[in-house]
Amino acid sequence: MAYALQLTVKKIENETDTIKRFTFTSDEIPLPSFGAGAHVTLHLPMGRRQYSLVNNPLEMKNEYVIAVKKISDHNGGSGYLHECIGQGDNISVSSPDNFFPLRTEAKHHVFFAAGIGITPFVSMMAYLKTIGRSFELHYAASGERECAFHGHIQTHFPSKSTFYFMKREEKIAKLKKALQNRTMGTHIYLCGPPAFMDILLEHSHELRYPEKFIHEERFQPEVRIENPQPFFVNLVKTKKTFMVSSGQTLLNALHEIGIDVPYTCRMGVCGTCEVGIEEGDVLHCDSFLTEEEKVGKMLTCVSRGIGHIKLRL
Amino acid sequence: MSRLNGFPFPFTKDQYTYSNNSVPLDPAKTITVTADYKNELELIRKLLQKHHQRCFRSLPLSIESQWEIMLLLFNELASCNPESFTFQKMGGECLFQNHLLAEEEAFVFRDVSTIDLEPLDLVGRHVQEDLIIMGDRHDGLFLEAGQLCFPSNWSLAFVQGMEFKSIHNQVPGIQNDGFIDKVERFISKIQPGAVWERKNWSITVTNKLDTPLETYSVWGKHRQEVTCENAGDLIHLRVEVQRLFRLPMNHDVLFTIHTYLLQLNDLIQQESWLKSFYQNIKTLPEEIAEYKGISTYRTELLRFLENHMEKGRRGR
Amino acid sequence: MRHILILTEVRFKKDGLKEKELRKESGSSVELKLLDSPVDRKKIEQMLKDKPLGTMLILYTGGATRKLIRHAANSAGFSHEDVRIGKIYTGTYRIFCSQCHRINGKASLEKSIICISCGQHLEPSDHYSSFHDAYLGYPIL
Ligand code: HEM
Ligand code: FES
Ligand SMILES: [Zn+2]
Repeated sequence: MAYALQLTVKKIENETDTIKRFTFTSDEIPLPSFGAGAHVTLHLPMGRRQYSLVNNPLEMKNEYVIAVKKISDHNGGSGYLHECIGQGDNISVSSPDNFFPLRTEAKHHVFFAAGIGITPFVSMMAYLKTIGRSFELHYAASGERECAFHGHIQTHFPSKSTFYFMKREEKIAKLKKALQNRTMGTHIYLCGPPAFMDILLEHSHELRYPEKFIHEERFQPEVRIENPQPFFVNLVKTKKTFMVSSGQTLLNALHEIGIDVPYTCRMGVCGTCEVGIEEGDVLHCDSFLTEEEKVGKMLTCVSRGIGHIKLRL
Repeated sequence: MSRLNGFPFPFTKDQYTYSNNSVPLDPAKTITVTADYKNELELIRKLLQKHHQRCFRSLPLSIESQWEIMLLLFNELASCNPESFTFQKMGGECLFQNHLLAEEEAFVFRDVSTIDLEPLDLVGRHVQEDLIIMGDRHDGLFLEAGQLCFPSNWSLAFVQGMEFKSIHNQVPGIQNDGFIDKVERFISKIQPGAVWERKNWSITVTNKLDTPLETYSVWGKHRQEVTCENAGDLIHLRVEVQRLFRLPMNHDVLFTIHTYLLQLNDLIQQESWLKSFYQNIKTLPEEIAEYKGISTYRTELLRFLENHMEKGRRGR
Repeated sequence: MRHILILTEVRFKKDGLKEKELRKESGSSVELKLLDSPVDRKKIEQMLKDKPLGTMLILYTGGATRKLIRHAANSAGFSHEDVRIGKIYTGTYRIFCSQCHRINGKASLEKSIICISCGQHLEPSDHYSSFHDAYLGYPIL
């Protein structure tokens, strides 16, 4: 449950020709601490954008640092940050969340990064070095000039890092090789373009590594309904039909007609208010159900039907 | 009446069932300092002194989370109660001052040579809560450390290292409809920054806070002594305010338990509580009553409550 | 298929071998190691070192040895579910005394017992800890 912080842009530095480092801070509030692998969400005019924090969580001095690669013009998030944001500007930033935590139980951490996918690992490596844990980095980029944090990594983790600047085929072969012959206690982390992650993930399957030892950074866009639409509901057991208006949740509507669906959080995180779906399309907005479960169930406190749905109630 | 003020009365409905009754807390605080602070800390320290093996357990894996919790709680104590506690951190050098107990803890963050106890054991001696660390491993949540002085009939020594689900094995009906799996999933999805709170309740005969399984033979026998006459004195509603917090840095879960006791004689002063308590005890499913240890004296307790409700009606 | 390491005490060798054959048939690469008694934690740690990522450990041993191996395996990076217990009857159940924490070996879970350490009358339960490899014994008043 991230909440918004009003921060100031303290510094903007060039990391490479296309990548800039932004440092945010506040004079008024202590910034919440975070873990390696955490990200913040920036609230920009074109919407929300998530970026991994690159600073060492153990040495945070009331600053959040992110690195952004320009992949759009100023109408997109990265272009906007590059072109329209300057030192001293204010920016609204959600407190850190973490979908990509380090596994404390690992004996050895192996990081595979491509391009700007290096960012969470910059934080992770600094953290692991501070607490004295074992790790190694395999980092693919198109060349040294384009390679974000190249100098930083060479200075701080030279013996633990391998760079891959060669041609694509050779790169892939070498990265695959680096994935092989891993032993128990190793946890593997992947971050980079989807194609890069897919290749390594597939190879890890070929090597019969259980999935629980492989971790990928996946930014989940928050599902939020901007303008909820009314929809119709049929209850197949109690034989009732009613409409859920745009200002109402399905849970409220059920309670109004006397169907006592239990609930607790009303935020789509506890799973208490689930009901079975008999028929129809549903806009799932919870962060609890698995993809498989979403086929037959919905959480009535946040999710909505589209048009007309039938429920097993 | 003062004892009623601030007591976390747990019943929201007329019939009690197990549910994931966790709600998000704003502001997100993991601990609370109450008027009983000094008394309870004295007891906590006495128990730790005399029965350390029973009240503190930790696995080596928990050490980083222990440090994180120590900072978190010292910070929280000081920022929420600045007149009673102060905390300063300059780089790694930390100084915590407990003005209520006239004590100081000076240490270097993450340097074990600067403290005599494990971090969780140390910070636990400044808060009223029991503290549990649930390690978030890739195959579930495991109890990896705890400082537990006031358990309600369970043993920290037994459950250390155990999976969340197995810990709950003895709770009746907890597996129905995958209930406990859902709770575990809920906890494993809690994101940093949020605190979730739930209340659990039970009944203690006598006003003893420390009712571990280890001393059951001492305190358990009082259950036989309850009569319709002495229920008001003997019986205490025991409420555990439990909070769940995702540690931002180490991604483990801190589980704090603040135990409150309210004597039945006090409880019945509040008419709505009396009614609600009565309804809940009356309709409590037998297996839950058995599990909570209420079965032995449920009849006597209900008669006591009925008498008082009767008095209330006649009084008006 | 995952790589499988079976550790078995001599007395359960037959069961261990049977498991090995079964696993082989389903296509796993299987290693079986006989343990000498008493087991030595150092030796176990050596055995568990550098096993291929994804190795599953299956134990054919008595309770005390199981506990020791599980703990060694956890520190070698095996997670809870990477350690499995073979289906064997060891002849004793381990019962954790809820009063003094002593683990008592007993032939059955049905009958109540007296703790050999503190003398408490205990009723064994199905509350099982894989960490202690023992069942909780509740006090009888
Ligand atoms: C994550 C931290 C938690 C820990 C360490 C924990 C531990 C325990 C323990 C040790 C017991 C006593 C079991 C026994 O009698 O042997 C218990 C009981 C119980 N727990 Fe948890 N628990 C946790 C969180 C939760 C949550 C989040 C829920 C529900 C939403 C829950 C639901 C229950 C229930 C319903 C009982 C029975 C209580 C009673 O009737 O008195 N627990 N828990
Ligand atoms: S009430 Fe919690 S998910 Fe709906
Ligand atoms: Zn004993």
